Amino acid sequence: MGVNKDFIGKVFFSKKYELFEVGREKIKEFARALGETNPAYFDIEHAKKLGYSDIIAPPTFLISVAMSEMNKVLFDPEFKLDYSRIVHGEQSFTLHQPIVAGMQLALNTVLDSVVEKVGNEFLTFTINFGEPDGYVANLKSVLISRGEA
Amino acid sequence: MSFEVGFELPAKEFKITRADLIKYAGASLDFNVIHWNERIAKSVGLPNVIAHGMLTMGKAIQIVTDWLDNPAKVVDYQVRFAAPVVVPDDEQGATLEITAKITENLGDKIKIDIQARSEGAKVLGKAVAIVQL
Repeated sequence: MGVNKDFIGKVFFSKKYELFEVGREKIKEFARALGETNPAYFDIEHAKKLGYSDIIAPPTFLISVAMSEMNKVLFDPEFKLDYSRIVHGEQSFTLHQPIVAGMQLALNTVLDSVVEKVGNEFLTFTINFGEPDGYVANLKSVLISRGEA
Repeated sequence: MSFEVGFELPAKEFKITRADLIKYAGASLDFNVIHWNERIAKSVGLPNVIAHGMLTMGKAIQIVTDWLDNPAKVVDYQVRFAAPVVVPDDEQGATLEITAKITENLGDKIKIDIQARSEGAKVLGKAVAIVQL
C-alpha cells in the first residue's frame, strides 16, 4: 500500500515550457481570488512608485505554478495516489527577490521524502524557482495522503 | 509604524464562501474535489467541503502586507495547517479571524507570528512571516 517510493529524489523539470513567465493578468487573477485590494498587485504606476518595473505578486503566488508541477507526480498513474485523500500539511515560501510581472523563471521540483505516520503518508516536495544568476524563490510543500481510518 | 516586539498589527476578518473556493481553485489550479464536492468530501471522512489551505494562507498574510507600504518586504512565510476551514453551503460561509504580533526584532528584519481562527478553531499553527525592513 501507499504511494510509489521510486519517485523519491527524482528531479522533475518542466519540459513543456522551458521557462515560466510571471504573467501580469495571472497575478491579478490570483490576487482577486484571494480578495486582495493592495494596489501593488494591480496598478503598474503604484508598483513603479515602489521601485518595480511592473506589478508584483502576492507572497503565495508561486503556489499556482508549484501546484501544477507537483500534480505531474501526484497524478502519474504509477505514483498510485488517491488525490481526494490529499490535504495540505505545511507550506513555506522563501522569497529571495520580489516576484515581478514579466520575469522568466526556470523551475524544478523534487519529491524529497515520503514518511508514514499513524497510517497517513507525508509527502514533502521542494520547488525551486530561479533566474540565470540565482534563486528567486524556494517553496516547500508537505502534503498528507490521509489513510483509510 | 512600530517595529517593536509585542506590537499587534490591526486585526482582520474574512468570510469564505463556496464561490470563493471555486474562484481560488481556478486561479491557483488546485482542483481537488474536496474543495467543491460535498459528496466526495464526506465520503473521504471530512465534515464537509473544506477551504484550500493555500486560500487561508494567502488571506492570512494580508494582515502583514496591508500593514506594510510594500508587500514584497515579506521575504519568508511559512505555516502548518492545523485544522480545516469547513465551508458550509450557505451565504455566510466560514469566517476567518486573523491577528498578528511582532515577536522578534532581528535588526534588519522582524518576525511576525500570525494567528488564524475559524469558528473558534485554530486553523494555522506556527504561522510566521519574516519582513525585511
